[in-house]
Amino acid sequence: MTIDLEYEDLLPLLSVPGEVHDPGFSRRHFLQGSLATAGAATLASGAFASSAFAATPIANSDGVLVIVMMGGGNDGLNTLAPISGPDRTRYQSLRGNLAIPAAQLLPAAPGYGFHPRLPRLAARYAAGRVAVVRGVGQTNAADLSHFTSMASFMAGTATSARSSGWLGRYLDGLTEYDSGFRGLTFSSSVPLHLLGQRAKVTAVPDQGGMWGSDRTVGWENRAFNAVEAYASGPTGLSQWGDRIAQHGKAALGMAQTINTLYTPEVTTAGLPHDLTLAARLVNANLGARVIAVSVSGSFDTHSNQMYDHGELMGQLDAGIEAFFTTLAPGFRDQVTLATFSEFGRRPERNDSDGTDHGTASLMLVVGENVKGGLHGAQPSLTTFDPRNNFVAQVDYRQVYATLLDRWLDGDPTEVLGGNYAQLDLFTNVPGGPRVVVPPPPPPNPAKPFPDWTALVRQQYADLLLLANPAPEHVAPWVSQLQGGTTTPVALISTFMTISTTAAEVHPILRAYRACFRRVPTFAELSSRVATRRASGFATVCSALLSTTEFRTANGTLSDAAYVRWLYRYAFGLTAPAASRVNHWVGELAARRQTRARLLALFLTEPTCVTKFRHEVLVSLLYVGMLRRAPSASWWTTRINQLAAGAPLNRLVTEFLGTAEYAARFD
Amino acid sequence: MAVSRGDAAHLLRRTGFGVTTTRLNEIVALPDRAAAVARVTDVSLAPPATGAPIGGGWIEEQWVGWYQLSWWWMDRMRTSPVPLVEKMVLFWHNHFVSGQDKLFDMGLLYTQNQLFRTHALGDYHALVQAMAVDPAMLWYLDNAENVAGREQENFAREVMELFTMGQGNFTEADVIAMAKAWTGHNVSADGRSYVYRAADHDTTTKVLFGISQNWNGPATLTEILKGSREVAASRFITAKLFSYLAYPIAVTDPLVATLADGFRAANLSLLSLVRAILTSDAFWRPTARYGLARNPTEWFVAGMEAVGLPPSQLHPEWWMEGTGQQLFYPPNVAGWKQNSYWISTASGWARSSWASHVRWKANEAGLFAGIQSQTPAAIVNAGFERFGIVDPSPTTRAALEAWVTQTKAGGESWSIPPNLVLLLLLSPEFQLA
Repeated sequence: MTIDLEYEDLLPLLSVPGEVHDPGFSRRHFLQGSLATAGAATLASGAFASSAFAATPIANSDGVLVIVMMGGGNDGLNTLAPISGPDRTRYQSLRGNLAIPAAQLLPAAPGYGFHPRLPRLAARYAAGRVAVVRGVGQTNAADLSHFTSMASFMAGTATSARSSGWLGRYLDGLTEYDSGFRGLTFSSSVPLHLLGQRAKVTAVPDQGGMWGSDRTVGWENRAFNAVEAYASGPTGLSQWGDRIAQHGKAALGMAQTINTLYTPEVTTAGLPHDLTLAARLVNANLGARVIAVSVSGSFDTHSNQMYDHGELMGQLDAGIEAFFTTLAPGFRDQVTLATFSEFGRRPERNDSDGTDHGTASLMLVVGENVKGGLHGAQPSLTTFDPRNNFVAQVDYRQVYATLLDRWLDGDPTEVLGGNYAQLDLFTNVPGGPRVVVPPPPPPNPAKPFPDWTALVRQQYADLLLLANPAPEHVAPWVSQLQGGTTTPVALISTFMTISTTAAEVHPILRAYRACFRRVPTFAELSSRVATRRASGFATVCSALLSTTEFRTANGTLSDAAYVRWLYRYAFGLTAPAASRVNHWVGELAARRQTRARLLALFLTEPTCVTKFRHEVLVSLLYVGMLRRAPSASWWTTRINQLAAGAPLNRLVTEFLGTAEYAARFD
Repeated sequence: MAVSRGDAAHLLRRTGFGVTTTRLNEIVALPDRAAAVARVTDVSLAPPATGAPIGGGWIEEQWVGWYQLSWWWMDRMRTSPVPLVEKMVLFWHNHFVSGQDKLFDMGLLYTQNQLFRTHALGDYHALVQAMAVDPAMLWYLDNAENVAGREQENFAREVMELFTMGQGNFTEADVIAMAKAWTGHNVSADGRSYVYRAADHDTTTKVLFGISQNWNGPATLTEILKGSREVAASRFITAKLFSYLAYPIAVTDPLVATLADGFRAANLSLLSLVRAILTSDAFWRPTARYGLARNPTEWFVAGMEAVGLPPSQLHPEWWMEGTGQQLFYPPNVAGWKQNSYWISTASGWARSSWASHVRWKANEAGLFAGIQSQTPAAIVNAGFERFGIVDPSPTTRAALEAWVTQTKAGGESWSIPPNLVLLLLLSPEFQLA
């Protein structure tokens, strides 16, 4: 075991789960924050403050910072590499086969060019929107461990204190610091640089469907309402009971608010995925001032550097491009993106096609109001520090001080605990006159259908088994889809569970599971539902009981065996009470009941509904949406997903996105 | 004075996890608070800590080793007749912090966990000495590599700042002296046991707390706990333990000073300190009754007790990380904090997600089966009883009764048994300690 942790291992040590609060947080602050977000609300006697699910939108003059972590130690020398001159000669001798051929570099500043996988960043640089701060590092580095260096970069303090981060302390000073919408991070835990003493930071999940985001299912929604009602008045259980109740309600509200960011689906991964969501977050104007993301993968390129670093550069390039193309034009002059890494790599290559831990690297600052070009200074490629590393030219806290003072309107001395000379990184303060241009609507949102009406009609056919729904029934759904108050996924989920489906389709699906242990074909389902509508469920049951398949699957049953069969296959009870069995056998013998009516009765009992609740949905997903039976292994997988709490929405999203589904409508 | 049901439930929550009817009735039947405290602190009733599923291994097996040991521990928490022992093991796990994220060795953490259990309510001085040379701790705070000439200050700093005294009771020079005193206290060649190598120990004279001598590791801890720093040290741990069992309290509080005096007079007996806290008037006042939120482990275990199913069926390990408290993975050497630390939107999503899972498992097991035929008030009362909620808030009761009424009116009574489980797990009452 070494003292130095690998980059992947240290992240958990520099993060806390979910969000943090200051333990000494007072109720007074809590209520103030809630009231502030509620706008003009006042705390009347006996009134109870309600939680808001966003912060106040940012003002025109507010700057937003998107901070991109490049964990592991990014090789600044290969991010912006010498292209000609004496530095080029020196670079080739230091790096050997790791030196990028001059012809491949993308010319930027005199003598230097960007990594070939950064074409779009190079274009932004040419347009004057990228500041490259060279030679950034710790001017007093204690050691070269990932942990020590990353903790220093995240904490951003003049002292050795590591208990909070520079952006967290900045967030502490904002209004509505406890709204959860001033600082957000796209990671499963909150990284140290966003941790303050009191600011609440939200860890945004990487996909939607959080608990409470789907309010369309009646019996689920009633439970959500109850959780909200816990916060409808003082609990009488002290501030902690009140706060738990308030947070239960807030979690539901935030789930709904944040869930909108995931539509339309983001199909990229890694940094482009997270930065697309980050841009949508800004566009939604929920009050965000600081958003943290990170490049997926490690920059700790001790070996195989040429390929690995190229992939990471490609991801960075795609991510920054995705961010600025998704960002609404009206916000372009209010958002700056900045990168950081705990250190650079050693100037000289090692013996395993990589580079070891170094010191100074570069930081990128990108945005409309950034003063494009080179800042700081390139460390010498001939004179190194005693450990044969670059000599840092700019202290990382100088960059932080600049971002805080010039972009975020913060107090750098208070946040950093010291004075650091600022750089000239901006041409303008955030904001100014601007034209709000709504982003263009995505092309044909009804895909794979020609329009919303076709989509809705298809769901009537697939899920309600109604080939010709009345136009007045179709129209309200179409208008909801048009108005954005529902989505195709939510609509399909609703159709799968709506009372008509539950009453007319679900019993047939249960009947096929119970009688035959299989999913009906779509033709079978159509025919049985038609019979059910014309002559009742008992008639369907009668037909099922008289099939050869029923006898093959279950044998020939005496009355007593049949009743036990019902308990077993409809209720899952293998040992029903003898008295109950005898009762029904007596009813059959006295001809007060038929076997078909008994089957219909059992299949519509709550016990049976509960037992088959997952199987019914999975059956309908396959037979309704794909018109086929699932394989045995996928059947089990889907059932397990639902049993483990996966929302139906998530499965519908998956089915809706398959090529197989789209192929039905080619 | 007999113990009321509210007081009994409070005592059970603080000295254990869940409040089952059986446990509650046992406490209420006792003559007074003293008898109740004697019962919950009767460590002679603790079952032997055997049968832990410990495998060795490489990274691929770490997950299996982790969740199996977590299950084993949680099973002890939910079934022990003296859950206080496991409650204290959880306390020490969060005090003398070591984490799997740095160790990658569940075997070492199991050894440490058993050490916590052995000393859970024993001699505090013996516990501190044992922790200093515990292999998991030696690795976690780098003393495994602390040798003369290449001192590692990590353990030296934390043992004073986080484990025994707190800031303000030592200087940076003390940290350096302490690090030198602990040189040579390392691990064996296979890394799995403590070994003292005299050749790697710094034998020079060091000045610690102003005392100049050839300090060696264990003597420094005795000096802190029973020598020149004993008052500060006893108050430090007393405040932390009182905060864990009663309500957050400052180390400067006069009550802490009084309890700490008694702790030293009892020769640092942890059992005597815990009994003193539980029998103090402060423990029974409303400040204490409503002073703590359940941490995720307490909530998971109480939930498992309420529905009567084990972790192997309810799988808390799938949601532990999301709630913010993954056993054996403390966030850093300072451990998890209290109250506000646990109340957040993201952890709320994780708790809700587990509760959604549990409701179906409970439903399959027949919990609340058929209850939907009863009146709303009867349904809600039965739920409170089962989940050990003795003094529900009128707001919660009204919310639940309205939910039952509306669900019945909506024709979806079948959803009452599973959702009753969900809603009780998520109620403010059940999330308070």
